[in-house]
Amino acid sequence: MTADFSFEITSPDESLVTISLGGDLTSGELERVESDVRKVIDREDGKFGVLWDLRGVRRCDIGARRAMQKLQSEIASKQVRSAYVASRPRIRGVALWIVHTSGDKLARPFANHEQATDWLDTSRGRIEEIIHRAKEIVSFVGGKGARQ
Amino acid sequence: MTEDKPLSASERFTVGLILKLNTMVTGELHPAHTAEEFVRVMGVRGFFRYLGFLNKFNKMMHDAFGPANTQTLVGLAALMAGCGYCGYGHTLTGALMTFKANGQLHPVHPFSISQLFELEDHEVIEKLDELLAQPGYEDLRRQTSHMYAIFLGDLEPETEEDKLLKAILDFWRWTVECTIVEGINMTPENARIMNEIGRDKTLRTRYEAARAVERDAATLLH
Repeated sequence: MTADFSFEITSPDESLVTISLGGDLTSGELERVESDVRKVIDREDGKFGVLWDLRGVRRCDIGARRAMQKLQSEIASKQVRSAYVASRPRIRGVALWIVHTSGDKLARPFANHEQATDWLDTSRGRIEEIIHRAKEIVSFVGGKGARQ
Repeated sequence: MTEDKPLSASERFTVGLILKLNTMVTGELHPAHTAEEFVRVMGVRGFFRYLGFLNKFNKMMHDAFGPANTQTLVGLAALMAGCGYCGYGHTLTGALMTFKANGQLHPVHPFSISQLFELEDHEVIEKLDELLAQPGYEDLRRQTSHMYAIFLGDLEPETEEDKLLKAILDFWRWTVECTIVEGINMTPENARIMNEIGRDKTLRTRYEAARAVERDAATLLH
């Protein structure tokens, strides 16, 4: 285990489970914690949101990424909403890769806790939201074009 | 998982066409993985609709920010989202356009932003502000600062400029949804040019030579 690796699961209320990871993530670290994560995922289908707090994560190797992708696929099969919070661009990229490649349309990366909890409280999917916003931009572009 | 989904014959044909067109336009071979993911996620028709919209979007942004600054801002929006493919590619394109226009080496380019991916957001903001403190980059410095604040939810866009910056962030969330499959592993050395300026090989050679002189001078100073 790397010296500064940290892992904690908390449930501040019955509608939210927070999985906090910190330090350098490797496949070895993820192997040690994934059974604890699975216990939480299997507990109640769809009745809570999962918040992955990666703000303390500095690096994440490909093995850890793959392990989290697998966990996210299992979360997707439960129709549970998830949000990732990361304060480093690289780790947000890792989170985007995980949610995209796991095929979980109810998961999204964010830069801060507030944005993430707001997302968990909504009902729209990630791609649905992107398309909705894209339509708004299309109309914005169209409006500007009409004025020129 | 999306990457395991096989492409149909017509989708594979479309990917081949996209790669050929992209090489014709940019003068560079772009990775097949990204084109495959766009087609896999959006479908053939969806991808061409996306391209049509991208052209309109680029025109609007060029009118507002200028072509070089648009490329740099798009690259920085991709940096915020964590995508190296767009982050490096668009900042390199912006840097080449700037070099062609006035012979200046842009402070924001793949190698100057590569370390920023690993930093905390507040550190990234500081570093970008330092990079863009040179004379001539005042607008880009302000726009970058506002775009990051909008990204973090610290600034609600009120002005026309801020609304356009938000549109870049939103539009590139759509794009990096697919490019992240390549962007997760991309290094600055492998940055791909994103528009027709890539066909100007003489410009690229001159730019790389000027960057080498700048690097050597920086090494001597340290």
